[in-house]
Amino acid sequence: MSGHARPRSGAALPARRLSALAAMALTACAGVAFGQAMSTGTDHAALTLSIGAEVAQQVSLSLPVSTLTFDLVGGGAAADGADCVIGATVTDTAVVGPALGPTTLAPAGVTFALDGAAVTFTGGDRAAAGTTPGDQREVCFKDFTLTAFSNVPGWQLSVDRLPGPGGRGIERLYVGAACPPVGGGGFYLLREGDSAPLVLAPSRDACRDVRVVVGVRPAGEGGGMSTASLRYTLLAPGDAFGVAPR
Amino acid sequence: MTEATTPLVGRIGRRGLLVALLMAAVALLVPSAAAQATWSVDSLIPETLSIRVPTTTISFVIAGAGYPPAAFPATYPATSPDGGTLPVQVFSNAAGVWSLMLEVQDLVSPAGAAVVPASQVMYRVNGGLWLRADGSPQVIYSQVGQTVGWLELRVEFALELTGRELAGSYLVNAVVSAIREPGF
Repeated sequence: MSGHARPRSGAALPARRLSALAAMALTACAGVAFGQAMSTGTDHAALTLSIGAEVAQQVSLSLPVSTLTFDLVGGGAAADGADCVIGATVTDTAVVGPALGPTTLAPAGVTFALDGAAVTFTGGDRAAAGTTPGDQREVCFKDFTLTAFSNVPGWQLSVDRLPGPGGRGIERLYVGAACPPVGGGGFYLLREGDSAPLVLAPSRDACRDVRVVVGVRPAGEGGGMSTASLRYTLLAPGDAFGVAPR
Repeated sequence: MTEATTPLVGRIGRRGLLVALLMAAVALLVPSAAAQATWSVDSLIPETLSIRVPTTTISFVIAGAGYPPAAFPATYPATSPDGGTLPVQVFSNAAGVWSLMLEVQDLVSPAGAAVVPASQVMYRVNGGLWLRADGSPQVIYSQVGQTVGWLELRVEFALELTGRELAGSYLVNAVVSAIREPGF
């Protein structure tokens, strides 16, 4: 029989519990708790934060008005706030664009130009208020600002003519566009089913607010209401871009 | 009556009295000697400054019906963490002034071609004024003295868009730090 007394089995902690406690202590010293980052020092502590932004590809168009009306009754279109010009010719003349650019038309020889916030017309004289809309050289214009947004480099604005909501279709409808503060030129003659490119923006900042000028030839229209619908489309290259219509 | 038959109380009484008298005499005649031991207990707690934050990315997801906005510039709150708020906890056990600092630099696309300037990253602490990052370390909170346990500060983030930002992903590693000013 041994003379040494053996310690009771419950006197010392099991080895498994000892190692678990040691592991917890080591974790606390390292300064990382589950789901948190921690830094400790005597007089300084620092942590890194990740900040990320994901901007989705997006294009957007905004029109200030949904209907553009040329009221040629009574005092003529000039009384309706339109800019009516008596051009130099009865026919439309070609306007040669820049190299490899599209060729546009000058209705009755009239072209437009942007001058800051104003639109000016050259190639004719302004029609006086009250002028009877019978002169075939008369062209009447209205303009508005179309707001375009794209966060993708390079975009194109085009227009399609669709059937109007009622009445006859407008005989001769002209559409032109330019990017402020300067620009201008000729127009596209759009018949029903036609489409035309209005603005080609090589970069995002090349053009934001597009000035669109719409013209009609009152002498070519019959009595009653003549209508047309114009659909403006903004296209940008790139994958998976979204369209946010307004 | 013998000792055997003497009542116990009587026997103890005479002997106990004798012992007590002897002990009293000893106590009076011999100086008492008490033993005492003094232990010096030293508590050494190191000066500690510590910060902790959840392991999460502060994210801005700009998409959907709210983009593009009706007008620029427009501000978008962080979509992650929840509510756009990051809890930053600070512990300090020493006297003196300590400060919490935040440094956010420009957000850059993976190719490095597109940048969102740091000045478009906005933050505020505990519902205070919105401030702009500027690419350098900024003091966002200061306090004199120790904290009572962990002090939690709510830091909210927002991103301002000017309309010039290209589509894509942007990332930056910001730094949040705590520093204690040296005492003199």
